[in-house]
Amino acid sequence: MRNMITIASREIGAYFNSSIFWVLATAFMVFGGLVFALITTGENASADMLPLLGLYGTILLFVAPLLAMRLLSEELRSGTLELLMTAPVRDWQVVWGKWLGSLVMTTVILALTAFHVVILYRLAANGLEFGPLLSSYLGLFLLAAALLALGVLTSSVTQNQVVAAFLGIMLVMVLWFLPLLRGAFGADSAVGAVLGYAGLSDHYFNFGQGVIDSRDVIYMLSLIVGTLVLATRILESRRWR
Amino acid sequence: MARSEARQSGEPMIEVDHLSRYYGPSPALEDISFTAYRGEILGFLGPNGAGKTTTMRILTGYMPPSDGTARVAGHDVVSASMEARRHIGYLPESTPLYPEMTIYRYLDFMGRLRDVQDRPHAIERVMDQVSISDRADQLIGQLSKGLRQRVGIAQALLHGPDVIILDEPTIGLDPRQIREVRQLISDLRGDHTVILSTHILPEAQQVCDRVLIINRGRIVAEDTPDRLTARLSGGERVRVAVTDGAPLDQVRTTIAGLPGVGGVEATGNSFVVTADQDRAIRPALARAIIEKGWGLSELTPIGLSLEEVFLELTGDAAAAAELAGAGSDAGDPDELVGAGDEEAVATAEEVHDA
Repeated sequence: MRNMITIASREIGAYFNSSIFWVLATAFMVFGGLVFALITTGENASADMLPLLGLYGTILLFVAPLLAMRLLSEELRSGTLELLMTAPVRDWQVVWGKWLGSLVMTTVILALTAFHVVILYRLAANGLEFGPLLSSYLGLFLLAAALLALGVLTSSVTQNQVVAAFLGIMLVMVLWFLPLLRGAFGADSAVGAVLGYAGLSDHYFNFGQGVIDSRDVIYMLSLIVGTLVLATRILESRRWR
Repeated sequence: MARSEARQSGEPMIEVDHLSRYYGPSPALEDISFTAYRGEILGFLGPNGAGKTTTMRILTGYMPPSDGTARVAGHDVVSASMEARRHIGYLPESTPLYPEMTIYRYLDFMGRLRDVQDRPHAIERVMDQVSISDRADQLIGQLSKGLRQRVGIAQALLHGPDVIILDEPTIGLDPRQIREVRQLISDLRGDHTVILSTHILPEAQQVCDRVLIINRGRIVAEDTPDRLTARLSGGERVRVAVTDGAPLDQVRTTIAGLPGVGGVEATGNSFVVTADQDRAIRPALARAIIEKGWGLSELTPIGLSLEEVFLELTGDAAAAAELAGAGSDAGDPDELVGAGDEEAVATAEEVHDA
């Protein structure tokens, strides 16, 4: 646990010193702010949390893989991973530590959206419901954690950050849009149900309803754990090559 | 010299037993065994791709062996990997560091991972040891190659490990930095067991107590640098040159007639004289030439350098003979891998690609 935190805090320092973090944080805020303005003003203005949740989630689909791409790829390329893997540190501690570091940074970015909520609160005629608000943010946080885990996974397979990011975005897209394929099989069919459950988006949007369903939480947590375990195995397998 | 004493009094710190490593079907390391003792500096000498890095990576726990065992400070590198790793300080060949960190923060990070007690003191100590105390807050990315190498060595010393493993620690440095790093390594003698790899023979000769010559995944020789040289050199060889105008034929017959002289080869007014085993011929040579009134312009012993030993052991007899003929006793440090080893290098590169 301590090694994991040591690695996570180095990662956090590295993010603060890297341009990619600032660029992505800015992009998130600018893009998020623009669409936020579109949603809350104009003809069909709404002070509903759900479209906002869709907005943040969609931006995260791109931002998270780009944030995670360097985590293992960069160390593979520069060779620093060899020192981590010969220090008295377990491989899983390296993988989880890096994921944790990126999660802290992403949480910082997400926390910046709090001022959107403040504006929304002032706009809403009959106030905001805090239940859906909190569950939405829990969903957003879990989504970020899952997307970053997927990013760590794709970062473990290549030394090339661009390839890692590309693979990451592809993988995330496939998981996100999986429920859309339901139509092809019939929404009530067994295959359709499986696709709906396996996909990210349904689970994510459930959080916006103000109800925290344990199935959605379990889905997110198992996606995170499963992906990071797989990333650890890939890292271990590098020792044999 | 304290060199050989350290070895005899030492306990075994690294025990390698019939170690093999395959990359796919091709062997990078075949059945090597050796022991390193406390306090000695052991050199791995061999052309690029001979298996030096692979051996080091197995010892440091970076990759498992395909066959055989290795123990560091009594801990098996596979079954007790974490324990073994605690006893090792390692600097990989490329000196991997995080460019965005300051020296101090980097050492602090490595110290945390290695569970170093009283980190501020430990960091101060190693920065002092490698003479970078005044640069604690400098970014690693802005350092010269020589300074980065010192940071890498500092990192390897931080936790006071019993065993320090340095892969090609002087590669890519300028001559002054090379000298400094060699001095730094020499200073580690006695406190730590040091393994360093190099393809530079004079380096092994200067720094190491004992040398393992590795070629194509096998140990082809193991001894002290001095004895390795002596073992293959046979009788003493001396180069003699006379000033212009001396009757070369006469000089040659005179030298050949001296007691203890086994052979004379002439090139111009310079002669390579080989003595019979264990005969000192230099005083007699000098006396004979001066008594005849010829001008003596050179009288140099030609030791067989490690370079020649190396080429001979790795099977490049022609290149070895050429070197011996030229009498180069130091050689160009960067041109040591003989033509015959290109094949070995090529094989190794294929291995890395696979």
